[in-house]
Amino acid sequence: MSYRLFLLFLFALTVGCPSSGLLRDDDDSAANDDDAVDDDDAVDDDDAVDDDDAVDDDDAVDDDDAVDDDDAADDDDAVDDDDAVDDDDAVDDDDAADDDDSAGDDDDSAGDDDDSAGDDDDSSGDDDDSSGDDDDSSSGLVYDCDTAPTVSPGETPIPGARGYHGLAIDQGGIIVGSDGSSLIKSNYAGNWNVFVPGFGGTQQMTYLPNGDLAIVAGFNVARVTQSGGQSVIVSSLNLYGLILGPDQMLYGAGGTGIYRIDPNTGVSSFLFTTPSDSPHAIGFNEDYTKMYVGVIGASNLWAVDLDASLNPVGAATVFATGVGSGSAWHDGVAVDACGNIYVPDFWSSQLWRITPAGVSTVYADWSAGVGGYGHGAVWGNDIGGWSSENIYVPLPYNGNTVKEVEIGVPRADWGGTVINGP
Amino acid sequence: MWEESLRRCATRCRGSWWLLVVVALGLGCPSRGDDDDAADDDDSATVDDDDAVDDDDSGDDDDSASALAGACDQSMRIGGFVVESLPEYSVVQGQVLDGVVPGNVLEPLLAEGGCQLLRRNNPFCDPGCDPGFTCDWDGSCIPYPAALDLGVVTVDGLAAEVSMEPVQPGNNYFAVGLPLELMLAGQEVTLETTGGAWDPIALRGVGVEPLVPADEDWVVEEGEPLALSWTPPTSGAASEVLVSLNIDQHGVSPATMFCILPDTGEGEIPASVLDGLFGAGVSGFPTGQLTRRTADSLTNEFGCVDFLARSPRTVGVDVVGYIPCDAMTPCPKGLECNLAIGLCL
Repeated sequence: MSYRLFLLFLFALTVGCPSSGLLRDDDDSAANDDDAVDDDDAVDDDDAVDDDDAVDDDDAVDDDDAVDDDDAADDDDAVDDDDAVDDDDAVDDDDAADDDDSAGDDDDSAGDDDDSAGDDDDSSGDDDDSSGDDDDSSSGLVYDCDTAPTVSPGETPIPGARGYHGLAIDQGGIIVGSDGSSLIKSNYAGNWNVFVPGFGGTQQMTYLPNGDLAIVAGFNVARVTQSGGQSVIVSSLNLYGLILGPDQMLYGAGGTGIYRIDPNTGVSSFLFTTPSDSPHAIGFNEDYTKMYVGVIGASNLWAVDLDASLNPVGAATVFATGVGSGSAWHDGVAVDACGNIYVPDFWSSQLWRITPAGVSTVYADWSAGVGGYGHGAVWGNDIGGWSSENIYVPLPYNGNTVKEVEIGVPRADWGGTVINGP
Repeated sequence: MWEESLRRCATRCRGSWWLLVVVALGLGCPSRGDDDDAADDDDSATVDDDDAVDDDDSGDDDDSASALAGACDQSMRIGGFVVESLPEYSVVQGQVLDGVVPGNVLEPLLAEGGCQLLRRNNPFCDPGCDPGFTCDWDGSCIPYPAALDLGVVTVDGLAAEVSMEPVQPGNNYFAVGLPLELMLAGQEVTLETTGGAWDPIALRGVGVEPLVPADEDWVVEEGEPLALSWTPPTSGAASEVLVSLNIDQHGVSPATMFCILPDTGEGEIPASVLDGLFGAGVSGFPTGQLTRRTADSLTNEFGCVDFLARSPRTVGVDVVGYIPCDAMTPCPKGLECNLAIGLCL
């Protein structure tokens, strides 16, 4: 032992254990510390060194926990990150570099991917996947509506995701919904975490351009920030349906009509109503010249023409009948690139497809079991595995779980070229 | 008392563990007499203890559970805090406003056997209220109650130390990423605020163990009470059980109900309450919820704030005579579909 080391040993004996935890890490099981050294507890810390707990941190060094971080370095967790470096996790990423994951296509701008499933949308070169044509810019994104299925090709449960009456998918490939108690965030692979507890069962929700959520909760439309902060956008409208328009305004349906709501000021304006039925869920058509309205109490799907400012032109009229049966109850409206409208109806427990000509047929039948009814319809966005040819539906009668319903036609605002379409 | 102080120090004085040892050695073992600890004792002392859990002696006790004030009446409630253990995760969360939101107050219609039947009346304002306002019962718009900054909120007595600061905007509090088994059965749980809009407040609870319903489904029949059963707690009777039924996922029924029952392992919802509830309309597939909880509250000039330590569990509900149907969904044998109301009769 050197003299210096001996002195250090003596010093340690004299001082004994430190009386403050500020400079040493603790191994307690629960509480977080804010010291400079990382801990292994269950709560995340904000120190400069990364931890391995279950909650993500925002420090500069990457972690290996189950939730993705937003730091500059790449991580190897199961959720994809949006940093500049490619990752090797199972979910596709949207960074500039190509990835080599096995599941899902990537949307990067440089280079082809080597995944085994799905096509890539990069700008150069073909991919090596085993199924399907690729849509890189050399060939363009094209969908032929004459090839559209007439019934849903299939359904798949989404592990981890939760939804009561509403779902929303963000630009990071994360879906959010309520489990009846809390808002839960999940990726396509099934990794989930509690986002905001105590929210209860919510109605429909949508992301705002800045990444905040707008949610119909009780009598209010609430804003939930990315850090979980909450505020009331507007109160007392008693809405159910909520979507974001291309003008970045919110459009809500319920109570006595359809409203436009400025998410920044909370100012709302009544637009129109469906004279004989109660409006419940809404959706725009592919070029925003029409708004469709699902209702409660009748099997009518309503529509109103819109001008360039998205104001109604004339009164709403019945666009299609027989959407559901009896006193139907329309819990969602989703429109595809070919102009077809998809409406889940509670009373028939079926997903109905209405063609641009107004013809209604059953696209998916969920009536065989109690839990199969999809209480809403939200398109995927081609990020993180959420395909834009599928809708995602919450299952409040099946433990507030979520399933993927294959539509086989891209969403209305998909951005590609449609042939034989509307 | 000393034991309680040591327990608190064990969680707070992490760097001073050696002091804890010295103090503990100096004090020696506590006596077997009257204790103030949070855990139950089985001693035969005739003097009652002040712990959170009931003891087995013959006299009345003054344990902390019995001193809990219970939950707020909904007409006075301006918010509160919750420690909640769900089947998949546990959380702590809360928010307190500076007033009651009119739309949250339900009208009591009937009370019997610890149960209440209530009706939701939607306040309506024409024209609608401006941003920052909400509709009151008289049709006028009033300022929407503001969420309060209560400073740092700490919760002790859990498997994890919880310290929360208000999340902006909205001054809501929450802690996630906590151990699944967050509450320790019978352990006193304390909530304290420091700083913020109010003088410090303190509320208490007792950790509850997960409730286990005896039945996966409840069968409700018109004119009949509904007998409920669940596994009683092993840690004493500090808790109560909140029973609720969700029959209205579509929001068409104006009625709702709840019961607050002793946590004895069994209870009953009176037929009058059930008939009133289901008579107001059923939509969706009904579910019931049993929630084991302790509840404390305080009231000041703004309203009532409560603190719940709870563990809810959901069960299915079959309502005899309520079978949805339509032209394409036939009824079970022996019943016919009344298309006008969409029910098998």
